[in-house]
Amino acid sequence: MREAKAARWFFAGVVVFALLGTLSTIGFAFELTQLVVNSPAANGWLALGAAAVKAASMIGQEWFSAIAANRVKSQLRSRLLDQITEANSTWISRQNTSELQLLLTTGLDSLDAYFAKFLPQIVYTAFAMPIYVLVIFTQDALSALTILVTMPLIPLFMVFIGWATAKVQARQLASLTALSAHFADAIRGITTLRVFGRAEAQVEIMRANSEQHRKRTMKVLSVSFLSGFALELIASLAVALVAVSIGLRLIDGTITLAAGLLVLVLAPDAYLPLRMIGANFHASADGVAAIQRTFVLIDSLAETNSLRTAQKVQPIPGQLLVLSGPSGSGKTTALKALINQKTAWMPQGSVLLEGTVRSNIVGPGSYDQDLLERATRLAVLDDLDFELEVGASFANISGGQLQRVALARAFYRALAKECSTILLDEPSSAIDSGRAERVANALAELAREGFAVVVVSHQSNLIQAADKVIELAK
Amino acid sequence: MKKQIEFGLPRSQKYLTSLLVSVVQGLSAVALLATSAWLISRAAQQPAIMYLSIAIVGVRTFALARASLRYAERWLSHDAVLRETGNRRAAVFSRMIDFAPAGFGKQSISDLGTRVVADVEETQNLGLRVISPLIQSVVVSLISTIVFAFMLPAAAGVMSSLLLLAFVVALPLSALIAGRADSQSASERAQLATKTGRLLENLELLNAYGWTPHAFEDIESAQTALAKSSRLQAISLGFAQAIFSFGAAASAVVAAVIGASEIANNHYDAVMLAVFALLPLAVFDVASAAQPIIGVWQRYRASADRLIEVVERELPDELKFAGTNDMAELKTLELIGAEAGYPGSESVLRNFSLKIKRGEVIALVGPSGSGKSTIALLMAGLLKLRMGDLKLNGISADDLSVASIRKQVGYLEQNAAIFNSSVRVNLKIANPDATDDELISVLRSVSLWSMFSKREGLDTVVGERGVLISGGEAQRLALARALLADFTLILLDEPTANVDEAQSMSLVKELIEVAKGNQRMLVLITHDNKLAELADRKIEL
Repeated sequence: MREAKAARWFFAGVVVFALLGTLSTIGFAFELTQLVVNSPAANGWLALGAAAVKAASMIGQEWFSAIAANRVKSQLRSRLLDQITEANSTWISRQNTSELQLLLTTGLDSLDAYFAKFLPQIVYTAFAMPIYVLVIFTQDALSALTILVTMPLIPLFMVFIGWATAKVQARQLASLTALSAHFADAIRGITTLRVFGRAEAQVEIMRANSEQHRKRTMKVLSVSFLSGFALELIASLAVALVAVSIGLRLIDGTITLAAGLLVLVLAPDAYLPLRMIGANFHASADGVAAIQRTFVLIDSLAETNSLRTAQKVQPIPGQLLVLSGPSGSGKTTALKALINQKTAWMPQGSVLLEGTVRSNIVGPGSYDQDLLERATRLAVLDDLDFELEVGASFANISGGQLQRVALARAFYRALAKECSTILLDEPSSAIDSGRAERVANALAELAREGFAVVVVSHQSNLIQAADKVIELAK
Repeated sequence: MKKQIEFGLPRSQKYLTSLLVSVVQGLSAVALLATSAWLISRAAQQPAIMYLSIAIVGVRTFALARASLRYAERWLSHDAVLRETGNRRAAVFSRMIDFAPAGFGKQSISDLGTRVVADVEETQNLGLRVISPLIQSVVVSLISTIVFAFMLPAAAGVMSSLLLLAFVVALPLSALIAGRADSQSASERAQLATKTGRLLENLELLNAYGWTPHAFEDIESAQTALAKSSRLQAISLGFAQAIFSFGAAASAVVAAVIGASEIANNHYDAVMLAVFALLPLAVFDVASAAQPIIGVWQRYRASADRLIEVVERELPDELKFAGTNDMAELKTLELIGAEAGYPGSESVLRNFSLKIKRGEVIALVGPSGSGKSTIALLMAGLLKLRMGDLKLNGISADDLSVASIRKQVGYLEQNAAIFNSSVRVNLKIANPDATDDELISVLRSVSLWSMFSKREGLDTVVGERGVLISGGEAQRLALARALLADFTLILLDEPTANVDEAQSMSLVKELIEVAKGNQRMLVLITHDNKLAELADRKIEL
């Protein structure tokens, strides 16, 4: 994956620290063994020194891994967001926003486990394990052989069990996402539930869902924990095997105590890299699932971006065109098909962004005061303080005010960016009749100035003011 | 801290068992290495093999125990925690019910929902990744130190001091290095989640206006802040690991040196030296399971605090309903000199009076902020008066059970929630016992059946927040739902905002006809004067 390249120097750093850690571990084990066998060459201070180097390398490893993971994540997130910007409305409406949001946050976070732990572990294992086995080999060839033979069992089991759990784990992720989405859905509709007296019942439903989720999760975990069990078992039994075999040969005198002890101390370390991979494999599986889902999304985006809905409507400069028809007849879809760089669009069901009223109209950055004034005059936005902070909760402005802010936004864009077309979806459905009349006049005025104005509306005053009305049938 | 632990601590038998199992598992790990060391040292003395047989069996047993007990512990702890989390979800939701909708203040219910969901998931970590490893490390260290002390008190003393150092100094010190990075990163993560969520929600708009790059920059800076926090966290984790590693090594060296001198003084057999030297390594290995808990604890604490706030928030007076008498069939409703407002805010309604009786249709008209929705909440039993009186059938609402009021008075919000499920499920919220025929009939009455019948009928999924149907259709679905509930009084807040004019007029006319026919009451809250004209009476605010 090309995002990984961005962090390649840090990955290299991780490997360097890991190698340092390996060498110092071996050094310490050697010195400790010498102490135990009462060798005159034994030096406790050397042992402590080696331990200190090992300690320092641990810090270095964690640090560089974190940097590497962050780089990859932010690159991947940016790439995904870039693609999403190009997306058209068909793709957007098909998506489950909470799933997308989970992916872009928790999903990508699980990449932490993949890049900061799993991947460096793999690389480290490739370097460190041969060194450990080599050192053990110099002390006792048979033990080295035992380790070499039992070692492949670990990845074998991992792959096998991982393969068996992959499908269930994907289903598990889907189940958790569904549970969370259901929980969030219930909270969003909590007032509705209360009105119908169903809120208490929902608590019970939630409990039942959680219980089902628990049962399903435990089934999955029962299998995926097996991989951890297998890993621990193999590693522990291997150490036991080595200990017993050394013991037996010590009795025969075919091996020295020093060699035997060194092998005993180093053997768990030889398995450690693979065991860590195994432990992190479980967590990294989430990361892999996230990456896969990300690429699926990117692919689906590329697909739908090439689809374009046919244009049913032709906007004409100077004309106020009204699209009417029963709901569900495709008016909004027809309108959205016309959106491009040269159009100013007001969506149905207006949206407020975090910021002030003004920033909602003109967007980020600098603005033209005169154009702003004209836009707000046309939108009849005369009852709001521009500095008012508005946000995700619309509690501080009314539905009608919200609609007029959205109108002003579209008008400002049309004026400031010199758009050719203005597209409005139900622009005055929540506005009182007095102001709505003035809005209709404003639209006619803009049409006279040369804009192509296309409006979706069912309101009679707009239909009357129109130059042309297209009735869309179902 | 005590409150936060109490909040998330699993209290089941199963969990306690898992803790016990983890302690035994840790002891097995220590025993494995100690026994192996003894085995080798004894073997070096070249005795007859039968002297080693117990040790050989012991080594194999401990190896098996170590692995299988780990599996058992994980299984038990996960099962216990999953169960608790399910209960917690239900408890938090249950608590939130009393506050909806007036009690949430300026918070966006959508944001709140996202946070609560994430926070509840986070609480699982207390049992799984904080308490469990902590108990295992501490108890195993304690038991091992005591046993070691019987053999080599001086070395045990050194080992226990270094262990103490690791726990009491290294862990908090590493937390200090991380600074507030751990709890900060939780809120930074939440910020990133919220910003990303908003970007996705508003994507169409942002794209159409070319504002998306700016929104990205915002997300970029949130990302950078989070990256810095996670770097600090990583360093602090590395630091904790380093201290444990060095502590293990130092204990082993000291034990070897002291052990050697004790053996030289003939207090112990030479066989024990290897055991003395290797025991600390094994103990620190088990104890090091506690390294990452500080980071996890900080993250958990942030989530726990938020949830505790939600759960322990005091219900404001305006939301306390204490009446107990069931209301008979509603015939009249009267507001007298009502003053009301959202909890913690100024009153938006002052000295307002209204009377409505069976068969009447009234319209409430007025500019925004004049308190129309507040009146609806008052009548629907979702908000209490600050001053004045609300009488139903002549009885004060304070004496009536609010559940019985809500059975007969229905409030249809301006943007009523459509649930991400089928049409059938959405409608059955109003009446879970309704038959399919009843559902179809009510859909016909709002002119929605033909549309759904062309799709999957009652099984048609209406998508997240109703996105797979148009705005007008969603509103009519909500209306159908309200009709199905057979309320005696329905409060309609802007019922036709997104419905086309021809249909909206005929829809409301029909509703009024039905209302009068069944002697029901209808309150229209609207800014549309034409619609208001259809009512018997118009009340201007």
